[in-house]
Parts: sequence; structure tokens; C-alpha cells
Amino acid sequence: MSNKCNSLSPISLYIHIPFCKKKCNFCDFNAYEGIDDMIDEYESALIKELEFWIPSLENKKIVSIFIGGGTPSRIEAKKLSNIINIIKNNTYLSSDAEITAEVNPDDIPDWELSTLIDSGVNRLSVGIQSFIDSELILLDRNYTEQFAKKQIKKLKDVGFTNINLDLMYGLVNHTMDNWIYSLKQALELEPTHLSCYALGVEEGTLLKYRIEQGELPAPDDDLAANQYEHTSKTLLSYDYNHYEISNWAKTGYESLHNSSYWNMNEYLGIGAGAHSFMSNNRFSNIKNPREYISAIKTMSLNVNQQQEIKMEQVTEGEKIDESNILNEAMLFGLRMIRGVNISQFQKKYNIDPRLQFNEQIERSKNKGLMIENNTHLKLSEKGLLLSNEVFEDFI
Amino acid sequence: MRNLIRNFSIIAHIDHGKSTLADRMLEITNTVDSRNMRAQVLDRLDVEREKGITVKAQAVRMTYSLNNKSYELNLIDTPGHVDFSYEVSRALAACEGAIIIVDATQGIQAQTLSTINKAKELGLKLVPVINKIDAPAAHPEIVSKSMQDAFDFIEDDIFYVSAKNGDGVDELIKGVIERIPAPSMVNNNKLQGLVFDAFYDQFKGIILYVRIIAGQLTDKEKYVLYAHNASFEPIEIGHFSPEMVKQKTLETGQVGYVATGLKALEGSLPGDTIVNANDKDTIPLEGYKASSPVVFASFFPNDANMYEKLKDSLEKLHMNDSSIIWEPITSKALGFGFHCGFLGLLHMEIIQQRLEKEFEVDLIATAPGVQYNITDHQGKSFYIDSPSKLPAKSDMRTVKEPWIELSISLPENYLGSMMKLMEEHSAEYGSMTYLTPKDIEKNIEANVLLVYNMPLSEMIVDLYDKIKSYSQGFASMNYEDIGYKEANIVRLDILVNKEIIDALSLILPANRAIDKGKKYVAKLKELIPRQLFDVPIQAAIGGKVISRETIKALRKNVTAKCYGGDFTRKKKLLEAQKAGKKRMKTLGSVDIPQEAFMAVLKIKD
Repeated sequence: MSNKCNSLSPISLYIHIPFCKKKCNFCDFNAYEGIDDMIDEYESALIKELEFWIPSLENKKIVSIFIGGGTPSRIEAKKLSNIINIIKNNTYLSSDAEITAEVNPDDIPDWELSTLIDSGVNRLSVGIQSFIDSELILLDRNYTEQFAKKQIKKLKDVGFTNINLDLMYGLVNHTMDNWIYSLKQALELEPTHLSCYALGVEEGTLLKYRIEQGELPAPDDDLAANQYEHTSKTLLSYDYNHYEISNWAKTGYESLHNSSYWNMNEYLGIGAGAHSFMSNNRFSNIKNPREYISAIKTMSLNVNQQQEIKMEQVTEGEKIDESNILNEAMLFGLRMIRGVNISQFQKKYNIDPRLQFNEQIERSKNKGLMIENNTHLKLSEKGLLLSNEVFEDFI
Repeated sequence: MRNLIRNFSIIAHIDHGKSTLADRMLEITNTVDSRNMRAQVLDRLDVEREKGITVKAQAVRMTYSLNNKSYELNLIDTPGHVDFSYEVSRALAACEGAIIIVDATQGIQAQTLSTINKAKELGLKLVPVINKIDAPAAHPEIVSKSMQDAFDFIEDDIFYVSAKNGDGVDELIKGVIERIPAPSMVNNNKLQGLVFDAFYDQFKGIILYVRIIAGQLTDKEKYVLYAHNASFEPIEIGHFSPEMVKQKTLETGQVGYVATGLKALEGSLPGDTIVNANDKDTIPLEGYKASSPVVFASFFPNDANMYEKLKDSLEKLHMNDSSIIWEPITSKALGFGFHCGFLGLLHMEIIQQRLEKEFEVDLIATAPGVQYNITDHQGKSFYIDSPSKLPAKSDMRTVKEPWIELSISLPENYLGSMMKLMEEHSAEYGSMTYLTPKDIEKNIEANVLLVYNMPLSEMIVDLYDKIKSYSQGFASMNYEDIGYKEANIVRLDILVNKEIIDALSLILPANRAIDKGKKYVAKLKELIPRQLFDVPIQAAIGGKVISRETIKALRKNVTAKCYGGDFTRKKKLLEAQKAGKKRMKTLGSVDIPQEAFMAVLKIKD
């Protein structure tokens, strides 16, 4: 198998676990509380969907798996391990594949962490969000600073070495001091990776409703900008490599899985609402878990006619035409701090991005949002925080 | 035949029940079946129904039998608002008499006084009516007394009705027949048809409302509109009952319509005379004194593609409302549009609504202003009616602005607050008269008429609304032009990123400019989105900045999380952002949403 691997094209797998103990007020992800009774059926559906796809993965090498949510730690570790094993046994899973699972701090005590390690999960992403108790309450997070710290230490004790912490800034009523504190607590835990996100007030969330009703003030964008700048400066001094707008890592610990999105590599999403990008097609599964489960149930697996199988679970698909592929390559590539590598772009798409996007690049450079050097096109420091002003030109 | 015709109008203040009385008359005369009665049949325009006022003159024919004779009653409707005194005189000129309605709960109003005087000047026979006698707050005896005092009516002249339930309306109709004279015969039998209104019908062309003063109009002969020198052969003639009913001829004294088949004519139709084509030496009737616009504002189509339609719609409107004038203009902020003149603020509002509702053109209107008379240092005198034309202060020797005499009638207990309001609006006290005395026994406040002189510009901002709200709706008002007086005015300019936003410039009293400038600047600061650079917003008078705010540069517009998951949705958000910017106007390299202009233009004092 291994000599064959070189000729295989890389692909990443995303597996979606939509269950949550409590849906956070800011969350617009495909996640639900109070549907835990579906967990067993959902597991079966995931496995069945995976089996449908296995023949299509024949010529691919799986370089990363990301189990995200919702809250993957909401379901038993052995269920996840079971799924990983099916992948291992039926596809070409790279021996150095990055296998990440998202974890919520308050699920850690009940999780069989050793089972996870044994199944090959080698990276955990912990949704801490804040180390300040009052903020955790505001964010609907059901744990305290001390509890969260204890759990992270526990993860390390059982042998997880590659841990990401998710933190949020730009919160409602946030202050610079609070953010400095949270960031400092995170750094003391010495994670290999940090994702720091500005709180987004998303359509359809309870948070947005409350802000519109005037119950809560809208987050202060200028404060968020200051907090972002503070973050960049601090993490640089702690030897973290800022490699994407919202992501920092110790050298060698940049997320392989997430980088594959930004590099426009292929990925396959399994589970309710999961998105895929394969052969220049973007498509996604039915969002509602119950409907997803029943769609999967109606599919019959006929290996001989696998070309004919109708993917009942897929709801939306879009073939991305060539010019839009180039646009998307810029949209994703510019999210990375090093930017779009000009020669690699040219090699991959047979066109010099500076020619293709001459006008757009000039406009953004004139606004001081983009920088061009011999090898890369990248966002300026100002451009990172104003990236949507650049990106609208690539739509 | 002619002796059985009665042509009359109903004069009333808004809400005193004119339309309701007309409805009852239509019912009693079986002109309109009560089952088919849309409340207030005469208010044909949507705007009228909405505002509860009558704007355009209308004419409807009713028949009524009395003493075995069948009478032809032509009710010619008059507008009930102060902006439309011109239209009132048009309607009255086609009549021999008028019913004067006064509300038994409110008494004589400021406007009733001026309309009655106009009717008297025209030599019309007046039939006074006190309406709403069944209302709980009615005090008909007091109102009757004040009408006798103010207009020299005698007790027996006055009719008491409830237009709502019909009480007394039958007697009133008999009174109209008995008291209002039949149209008189003119010696010369050559046709003279007085055009008192017109509208456009896409199948029948221009339709004229006509009162036959002398002679006969038939559908067989050729005619000429004298002043327009436009000849036509009637496609159809008839009367309104209230729908159009064809008839062969219109005789002396009759009121009806003529469909001309003409497509478009320049200039005002009402006031023109229809004469026989081969009687060109007929002396035309005296037309109406054209009423000149006093309020000016610019209209821009919301959607630039609607410019032609706006132009076409203005032309159609002009056909039966010759008082509106316009000229094309260009604004950097709002594109192509028209600078228009109106009879008053309500007239402007009505035109705006008609354009939007009847003609379906969405509009942005600039702040209304008046016409200023400027004299320069060479002694040359001229008028300007838009802020952009106001010369620099150093180039003007004098500036004069139109003044009005404002009459307000109101219950005595609101006197104090009303006088305070007048003071705030630079009004000069004229006089105070008691229309009806206080009745302590019945706990009825005295009705007082207050007269002030003030600049018209003060009136057109939002004084009408204030007069209403300061008196909890009890005050009513009327105003008349009294000529020009020296003014202390300035032009306020609004600058965004150092560039003047032409559509927002306005002329106003110097003592109010700073406050207004601050309001404009504050509103724009709120509504213009942050840009990639600091944007100063300034209000300036003659180049001197009097208020300034800065929209701080946008620092953050970023999608924090972007992975494979919902890239399609993230793209849609970016598309929406891009489309949003496309809809904005770029002025001084600042993207400004149209809503910002509209919101600023809606700011009241």
C-alpha cells in the first residue's frame, strides 16, 4: 500500500457530531441540545454514509480527520474510535495523519480518553472560550476557570501533547483587561495551538436577538480590534507562529486539517450538514440530524452499481467554475498570514495571480490592505482585520 | 328647464362633515344607492381618502322632485384645505350658491372665515348649515349666535343637520332649491363654457369639467378651447352621476363633462373657455387668477431609471393641477430630478403621494423652502427658490422673504401655549377676537381667533403639526400672503469628507442654522457607515464650519472563522456586502447609503 501512496491525491475528512448539552447563545453552527436520544441512530447513519463513500476514496490518501460539532465529546469515545477504525481499515489513512477531536471542558471527566488515544486521535481542540467565570456564564458555558484548567492538565496527563485552545474576544461588555487575563491563563497551560476568534453576532442566534431587542449591547468593534492587536503581539513574544487570521501555533503544530481548507485541498464531510469540496464541487448534507438520518436510511448500498448511487443525504451542490476556483483560491489563500504563494498558484492553476487579479490587487494595495513581494501576495497587518474589504473584490 | 337647475358648492373646514353631507345628499336623491355607497363617494383620489380631505374639485349631478317639478342639482365640490384656495375659487366660479357648513362642536374656524369672504366676493348666495347637531359635545345655539354675529346671517337662515344620520338633510336640499338662484340667462346665445377642472383618460383623452355659462354644447359640432387655441370635436359629452353618464347636449346653466380626445396641452386648462369653432369672436370668460407656487422642493426618483416616468407623470398631473411648476435639475448626490413649486406644504405632500401612488414613482424630496427676493449691489432684483442659487452674503444688498398673515381659531384654554409657540417661531402678534363667548353653564370654552404675521418659511417647516399638537387638535388655521419683508437668512451646507452634499443644502433663519446643522451632522454620523479612513462631517455657513463630527475609520471587518464548513454562506455574506456598497452613492470617495439622505431630509425641528 505504501508505495502506492505517492500517486494518491490527498483528501481530508470531516465528521460532524451535532449534539450539545446546551446550545450556546452565540452559536450558529449545526448543533442541537436535547436530541441525545438520536445518538445511536446517528452513529449508524455516519457509518453507513462513510461506507457509501469508501469506494470513492479508493484513489485518495486521507491526510487528516477532524471530528467537530456540536460537541464530539457528547458521544462516547468508543463510538468515535469505532468510526476511526472503519476509516483505518477501509481507506488509505496516512500514517502521520492529523486526527483531531473537538472537546468541551465539562465532558472531559466522563470521557474515556485512553480509548481516544488508542484509536489514533492525536490532537484535541478544546473550546474554552474564556477563563473568566462571569464571561463563561454569559457565553452559556457550564464550567469555571479552575475546572477548565484542571481538565486541560488532565488531558496532558493522559498523554495528549497537541492541544488547541479556542478563545473568544470582542465579547459583549468585554474589556481589554479581561482579555489579557484569559489569554495569559491560556498561555500558562502551554497549548501547542491557539485559535482566537472575535465573537460574531450571527443571524438566527439568541445573542443577535437579544442585541436587537436592546437587552445586550453590541460588541465593540474597536475594542475587538485592539484586543486582536494585543493578541498578535503577545503570542509572537511567546513564540507562537501567526499563520492564519485567527490561528496561532508553535512551529510544526499548525493544523494540517484546517490548512487543507485554506490551500483548496479536497475534503469530504460526513454527517448532518457536513460540507465537502471534491473535484471542484462544493456540496453539503441535509442539515437537520433527524432528516439526515432518514435520508441515509433510504439509501441502499449496491457496490456493483456504486456509480449510480444517489446520495440522498446531499441537499446542495455547486460546481465551481474555473474563474471562481481562482477567486476562492485567493479568498482562502489570503487568510493565511504568509499569503498566496505566487509560483505555487501559477503551478496549480496555470495562471499568474498578479495577472488574473491585477485590478483587485492594485485596489487593495492602494487602500493599504495588501502587500506584494517577490514570492507572495498577502494581507497587510491592517488588512487582516479588514480582510472582508479585500475579499469582496474576489467575489 | 334652466329654471330647474341649481349649481352649488359646499364650503367647510376639514372634518366639519362636507363629504358626509354630500354622501347623504347623493343617497336622498337616489343618485347613489345606499347599498353601493362607498363612504364619501366624492373623494376620488386615494390621497383624499387617506387624509380625509378633498383636494380636487369634482362635480356630481343629482335630481330631486319638489312640488311636482324635477330639479337638477349640481354639486361642485371644493377642496377643504388652506393650500387650495385657488381650487376653491375655481369651483365657486361655476356656482350660483354655496352651503357653508360649521361643526356644532367646534364652531367657526379660521379658514371658514376666509372662504366665506371669497364666496361673498363672487356674489354667491350662501346657505349656512350647522352640522353634527347630534354629537354629545354639540352646542348649536352658541355656534348659531356666532355665525349670525360674524356673517350677518339671521336665525331663520340657518339649517341644523346631522349629515351622519341624515337629520335635516332633506330640508336642506329644499332650502338649496328655494334660496339659491337658478343660472341666469345670457342674452347672447353663443356658447361660453367655463372649464373648471380637467383630467386625463387614456381612451378619451383630456376630459374637461365644464359649466355652460351661455349657449349649448353638443356632440355634433366643432369647438375651440379659447386660450389654448385648440380645436376638438367632442368624443363624448355628459355629466357625473357620480359615474360618467352620456348625454347629447349640455344646455345653458348645466354642468357636465366633455371628452375632447386631445392628448396633451401646454398650460392650465381650468379657467379656459370653450367656444364654438365658427364663433371665434366670442368674448371668453374671465379666467381664474392663477395661483403662484410658494413652496419649493426637489423631487428625485429613488431609482434613476424612473426619471422619464417622473417627468411624464408631472405632465399628466399638471393637466388638472396647473398650480404645480417644475424644472429639471441635477444633483451630485441624488442624480437627475425636478425642482418643483407648490401652493403649500400640504399641496407638496399631496403631489408627492399622487406621484408615488397613482403613478408609482418612488421619490426622494428635498427640504421644502420658499422663494426669496434678492437685491444685489447694482440694485438688480431677482427671485431665487433653491439654496444653490443663493448668492454669497457679500453679493446681496437685501434679502426678502414672503410673509403670511396666520389666523388660528382655538378654544381659549389653549391661548397661552399657542402664543408661546408663535413667539418661538418669530411671529408678530396681530389681533385677538372672540368668535364665541365662554359658556360657563355648559362648560364650553370661548372660541378665539388669533392673528399673527410671520415668515412663510416658519410655517412650512412643521408649524402646522405643532399648532395641532399644542392645542390637542382643537386649533385650526388659515393663512394669506401679505408680501415680502426683509429676512435674516443663511445657507447651510453639509460637507462629507470636505465635499458639499448639494441635496442637503438649505436656506434658513440665521438663528436656527447652528441647531439644524448639528442635527444634520449627528444624523449623518449615525447613518453613514464607517469607511477605511476617517470621514469628517461638517455643517458650514458661508464657508465657516459650525459643527463637525468625525466618523472614525473602520478597523474591523473580518470573518473570524472560515473553514470548509460554510464557505458558501460566507461567500453570500460577502456578496451582500458588495451589493450593499453598489447601492450607495460615492461622494467625496465616501460610500453613502440613500437612506442616509432620506433620513436627514426627514428631520424636523
